[in-house]
Amino acid sequence: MHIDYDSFFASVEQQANPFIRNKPVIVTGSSIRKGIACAASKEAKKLGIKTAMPVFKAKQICPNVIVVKGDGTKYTYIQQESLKIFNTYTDLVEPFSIDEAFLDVSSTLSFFDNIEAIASSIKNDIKNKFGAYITCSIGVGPNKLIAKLVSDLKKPNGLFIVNKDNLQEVLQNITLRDFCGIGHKIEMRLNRLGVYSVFDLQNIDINILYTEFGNVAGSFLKNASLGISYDTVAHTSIKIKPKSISHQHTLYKNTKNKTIIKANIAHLTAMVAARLRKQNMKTAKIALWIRDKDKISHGENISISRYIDTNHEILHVVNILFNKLYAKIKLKEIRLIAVGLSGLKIKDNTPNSIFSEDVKQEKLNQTIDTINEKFGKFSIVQANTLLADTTKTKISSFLKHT
Amino acid sequence: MYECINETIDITVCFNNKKIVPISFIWKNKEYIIKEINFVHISYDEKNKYYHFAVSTDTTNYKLKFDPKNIKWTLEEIFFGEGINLYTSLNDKSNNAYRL
Repeated sequence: MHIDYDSFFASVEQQANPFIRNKPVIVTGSSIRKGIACAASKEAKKLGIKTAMPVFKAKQICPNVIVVKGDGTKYTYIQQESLKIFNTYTDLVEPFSIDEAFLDVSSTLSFFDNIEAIASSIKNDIKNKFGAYITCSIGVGPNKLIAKLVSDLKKPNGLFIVNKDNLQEVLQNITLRDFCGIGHKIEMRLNRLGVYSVFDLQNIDINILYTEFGNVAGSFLKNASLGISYDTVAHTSIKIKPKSISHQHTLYKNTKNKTIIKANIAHLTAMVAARLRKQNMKTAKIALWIRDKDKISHGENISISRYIDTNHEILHVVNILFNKLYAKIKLKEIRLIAVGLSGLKIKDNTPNSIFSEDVKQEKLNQTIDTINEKFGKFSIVQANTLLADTTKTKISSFLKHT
Repeated sequence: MYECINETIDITVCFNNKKIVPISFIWKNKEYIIKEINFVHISYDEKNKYYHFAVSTDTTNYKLKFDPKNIKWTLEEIFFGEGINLYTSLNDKSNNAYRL
């Protein structure tokens, strides 16, 4: 079973505020003036406003659209409480995103009349807990792939059940992009092989897929076209460690000022490094992306020979990547920066380094993390981040109130 | 239109079936009777747990926050329905709101 909240952020805001119900609403991140729509209400979607659309474009489509600043505490609360609800139906619950989860109810189905009864009961529990305006659509199928595929077919507040009788009919009526895992680039590559539909994918020789995509991806594509997936729902007690950690930030103002860009890079690096240490992990692969004012993205990444987790070591590598990128983009103004860490592994007892300076940095980072945990994020920051957008805003707010 | 307020308020609540139910609150010497509680959620920071209540009168939506550690209620934010703004809301004698 795949459960997917409908227009999640927007529905939550409309539940919290009756004066914006039945109206076009978009939810943005930290900036209402210059931002993108993280979510659009169903009324906004009907007018053609889409998720990830810039606010100014949404206002061009609908000048009366209501722009609401997102409140992450609400969404996180709903996600956590939802998982508790789902756990009353099965212990095999796997959150997929903040507004989606998979449930494996095959072993608990016998406690209910049928699958429709479970779905209906879950929807009622959600309504009683959060309010009638927050709804979800449920897809049921023989595996996660199919369940996720069909939860989208009858939105909002829908229920779609797939069994062996209707599986083929469902597969013939969807597009390649409807599959989770097939995006624009994979679709283009399939098109180059003469595959334009699920039917084509079912009938193409698997060896051609192996040649183009490799054995793993090739098998996935072939199996997907047949409605087959072996991916199971993970048990809720299993804590899955992340495979990558990243942060991105859209600058309040486009700039080519190297000092400001580097301050923001240092701030993002401090954020990802803190999260890395919190997960008790180290990294051996670091990436930096920059998007310029023409919305063209440039990225560089590097694998390093040892695993690291301190701010100064990671920043040293990120700065090397930045110097490479800065030379490439040739003084264009920058609007977005992202820092990512991958190639992660759990920390063992091996020290990062035997050099006293590195040991000092490790202790410094541990102390900074402890202070920030106790007194709040960014209670203490490194001086090289003071010109960063988010650090600057905090300082301005403090000055405003004194 | 959303207006950020962040001011301490006095409030009347009842405790019903293990839940906190806000009834009315006083802000800028005016009492506001709550007609609907639309959404309640909990947030955490490193120090504390907070309860947030999205409540409304006939014309206005209010976001209230309760800090149980300090026993403090805050009016975080107001949203005005159409045709209403902060001035008209403060001077509105209808909707069971009255000056003390």
